[in-house]
Amino acid sequence: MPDPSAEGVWGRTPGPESDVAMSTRIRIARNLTGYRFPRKLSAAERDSLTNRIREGLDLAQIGTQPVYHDLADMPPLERMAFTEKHIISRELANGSGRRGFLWDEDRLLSVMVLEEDHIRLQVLRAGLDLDDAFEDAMNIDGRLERQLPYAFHQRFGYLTACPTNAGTGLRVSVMLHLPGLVQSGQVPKVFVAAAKTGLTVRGIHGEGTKSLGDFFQVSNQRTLGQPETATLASVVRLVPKIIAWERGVRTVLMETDRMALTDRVWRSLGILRYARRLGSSEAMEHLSAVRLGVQLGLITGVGLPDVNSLFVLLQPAHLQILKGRPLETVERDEARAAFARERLKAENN
Amino acid sequence: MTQVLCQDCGKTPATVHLTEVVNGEQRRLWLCPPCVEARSPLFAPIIPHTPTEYGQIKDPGSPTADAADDSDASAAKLAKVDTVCPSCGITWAEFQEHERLGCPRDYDIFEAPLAVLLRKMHGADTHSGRQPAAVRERSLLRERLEALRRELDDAVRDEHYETAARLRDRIRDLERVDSEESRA
Ligand SMILES: [Zn+2]
Ligand SMILES: [Zn+2]
Repeated sequence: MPDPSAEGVWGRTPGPESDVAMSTRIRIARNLTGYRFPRKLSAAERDSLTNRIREGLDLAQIGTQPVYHDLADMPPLERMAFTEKHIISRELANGSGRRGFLWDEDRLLSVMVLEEDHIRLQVLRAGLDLDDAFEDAMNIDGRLERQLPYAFHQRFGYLTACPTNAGTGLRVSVMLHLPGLVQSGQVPKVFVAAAKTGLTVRGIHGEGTKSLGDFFQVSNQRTLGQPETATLASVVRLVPKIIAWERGVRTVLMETDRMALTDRVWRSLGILRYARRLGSSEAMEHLSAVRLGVQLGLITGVGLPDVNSLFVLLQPAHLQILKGRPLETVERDEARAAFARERLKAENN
Repeated sequence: MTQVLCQDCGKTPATVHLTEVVNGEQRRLWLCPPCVEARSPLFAPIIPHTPTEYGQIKDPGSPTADAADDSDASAAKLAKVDTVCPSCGITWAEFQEHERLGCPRDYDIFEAPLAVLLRKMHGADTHSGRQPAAVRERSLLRERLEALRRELDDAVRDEHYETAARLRDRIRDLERVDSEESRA
């Protein structure tokens, strides 16, 4: 049973640049030599490799209170809850056969076992905290390397199931909240700037078209022929620029029509406080506006950690776990409205 | 090298890969930066798993590339059709279909076509950066051996025979370590 209070970075004290930067993630893909990639493993091989990796994880003594979760034995709702927290990927949650992950809530560290690669190490941080997360990830990778024989190629570096990750196996990403750029139609500017420097931007929380909640993830694409530090540097260079653009747009919105913005964010808070049925995308949209309102000081009496954690707690699996049973869409919308109402209760009126 | 052209203007090379969803249907788009700007912000780009279709890759450096300008398969040509990885049983065609390799050995078995593909994806085909400690120590050992061999040449040339003998012993020891490690 996932601890409902364990929300990964979402329930944390906001980190550096948290008005725009939601979280930082360093991911490293690794495989063991002598084993086929997960897609080609037999059930027996999945078992023995899982045991081997778990032994390595134990011996490497990573994290402070790591807990290993076996996904093959975990009910679907609980698996989904971990993807809603962005602790594991959808691919791992929905996969089949023996697979799992190590999660250390204290250090915001996860190691996915038998996802697309044998090992996917992830270090998360609240806000923009690239150097710290990077250092931590490299350190843990070094410790694991002493326990597990990594597949390494003189020419191609660390080998991965998909050639898009070969070389360093490193993905550096920052999740940004960009309601200002979305509202002013300037998100394409971010895509372009990212593409120019070999980075990519993706909307999260949405199926395709739209990024629900205005969250976007900036990350590197290149993993071969570029040392880890250079990859990190490319993200370190671009992200503050995007943050500055977003802040610039917010300032303009405040200066040109402060009342319109104030009206919009309070209406959103009103809906979250008083609605009796709340759809998932509707909730994300209003939470985004409330987050903006809190950041700009237009809304007071609502804490940023509360708003952040609602982005996770109002997701379908979390609501159903809270209620202790599977819910139909309408029931879910009602549960979502009730939970939002409770969490965002007005204190003085 | 085949450039993918922007699907909006058809003129400029496309550098941005987007997924557009219209009425619930996903459509992949390749666009140039100005055309991205011209569109609404209502789409989310995805990380291209394949910067171009695997089949259309051409290796500018390979002898087969010049010949086949219209080719959709020079990487595939580099990979012999009947090559099967003895460890995982994958063929180049299967890799193209799933966009995933079957085992680490595939990087040796399909080294030539993969190098083409990797250059397309990453702009490079040689790793730079971190290495496992064992690999690092090994290359340090080899560098040390090289240096000692140069010193030995100098010593012999300058007729410092005692030094040369000492260096020869040292080299022999290190060579033994090196060959033991390659057997391990
Ligand atoms: Zn164009
Ligand atoms: Zn293979």
